[in-house]
Amino acid sequence: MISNSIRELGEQIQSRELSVFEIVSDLINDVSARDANLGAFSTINPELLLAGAKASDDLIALGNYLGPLHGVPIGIKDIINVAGYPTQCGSKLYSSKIQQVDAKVTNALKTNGAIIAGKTTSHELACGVVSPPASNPWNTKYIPGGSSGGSGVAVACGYVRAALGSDTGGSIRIPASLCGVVGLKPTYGLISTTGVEPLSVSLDHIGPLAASVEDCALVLNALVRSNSSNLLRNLPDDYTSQLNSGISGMRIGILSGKPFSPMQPDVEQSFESAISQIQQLGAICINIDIPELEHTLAVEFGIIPLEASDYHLNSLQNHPELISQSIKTLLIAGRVIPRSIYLRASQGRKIITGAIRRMFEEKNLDAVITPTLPATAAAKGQNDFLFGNSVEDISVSYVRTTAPFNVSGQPAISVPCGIDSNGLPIGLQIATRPYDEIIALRIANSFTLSTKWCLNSPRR
Amino acid sequence: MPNDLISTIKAKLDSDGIIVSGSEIEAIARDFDGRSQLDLGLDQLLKDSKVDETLSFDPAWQK
Repeated sequence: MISNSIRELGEQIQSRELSVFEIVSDLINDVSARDANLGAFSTINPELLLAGAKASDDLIALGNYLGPLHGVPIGIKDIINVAGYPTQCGSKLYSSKIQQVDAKVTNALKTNGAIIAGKTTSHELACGVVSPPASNPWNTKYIPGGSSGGSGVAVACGYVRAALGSDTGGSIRIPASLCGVVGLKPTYGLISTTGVEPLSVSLDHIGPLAASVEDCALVLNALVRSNSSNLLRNLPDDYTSQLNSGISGMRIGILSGKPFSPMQPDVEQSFESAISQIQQLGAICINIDIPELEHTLAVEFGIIPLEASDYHLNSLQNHPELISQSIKTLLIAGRVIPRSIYLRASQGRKIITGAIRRMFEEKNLDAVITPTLPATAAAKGQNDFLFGNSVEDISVSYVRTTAPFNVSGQPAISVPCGIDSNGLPIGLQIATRPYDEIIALRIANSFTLSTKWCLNSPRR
Repeated sequence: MPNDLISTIKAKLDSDGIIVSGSEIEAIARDFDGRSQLDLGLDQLLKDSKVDETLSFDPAWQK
């Protein structure tokens, strides 16, 4: 289990106090001992890992230190290509054919010296919130969330300090919240999706899940630099540079109303405490309501089925027996619902994005905050949540608070902000203006350092 | 589920070369019905609000 931060590990690796070979050998043993129960990884390749570790140590011995990610193992969601591994997307549709070429994000991590720990479990076709066979490390009777569930588990249980995930309606932030780790969905388009299996191309985002905000920022540095489109943007050189600048005087909107309510009482209480904490840190909190957001799911669910079914049409026609019933129903919906719904949803998307933007401008906001999710982890096999008298499908519950920022494309980060009465983590979501990841990370870091929720670990 | 809805869905799937069983088509029709309810929300949104045509999917709005 890795307990040191990426920066601490980097210092130990650079000074040769700790070899990458030792770190990787421990990781292999740890996964071998615990992962039959936790299901974080769909594939690891010990031979490849040890060879990579040796090469990494050799570079250090030659004085070629590649930076803070040098020798640090990072998990990769199993929809992202990694040379030497199959890409299986949690689906029987995909073969165990070994990929020869890295996705751009994988290459970015390797160029910065990271060791690819293995492929982390994805919900089937990155479309779902359960991620079987992964289990929540806080209590294995509960789900870890999804669709990047394996990445959440791998970080929460301490196999790795960071892992990559993808987020189309909340798939980074949902497992981050349910597993008690940090998860960042960056601005749409900031991180390359080349070499990643898509779910819904206009809503898909790639980003890190990590054990701390600083770890998250260090991984983001590598990912952002790899996207050549970013050369034209005025972006920070180093996303860790403002982490300790505090949030005094920042203007933060507290989003309420639909789709953020209703929520579980424990979540509501933790969110209230988080608001108080943020005020104590010197930020100015302003209550806001954006009525247009109530229709977020109509927009999100008007877009995903059509984009997903366009991509998977061949599989639907030729191998429907290899697709689970719920995913098949979604893909078929993409074929049968009128194309006009997609166009109307795209118009709705502009309305929602415009409404959020107006709120940021009118109130001069630096960020808005919400509970990441209205509920903590569902038990395995649980289909619905009960909020008062109202029953809601767990997928709808989890996506309704995260999807607004997929629709708008803004950065949104989830950080731990409490524990419920069952001992399960609760998350706080912070969303900023497009390309303002540095502000989201700064608020997240101030909050987590002042509350210590990030230091909580699941029972092992 | 209304028979005409099931027939419409079946015809569309046939034309796409997608084969589904009788029980699956019922589930698909129920799903379609649920999505129609969501679409009413979209109607409401489009009726009540003005579309900002200057916005694209690249959310390039900053302070």
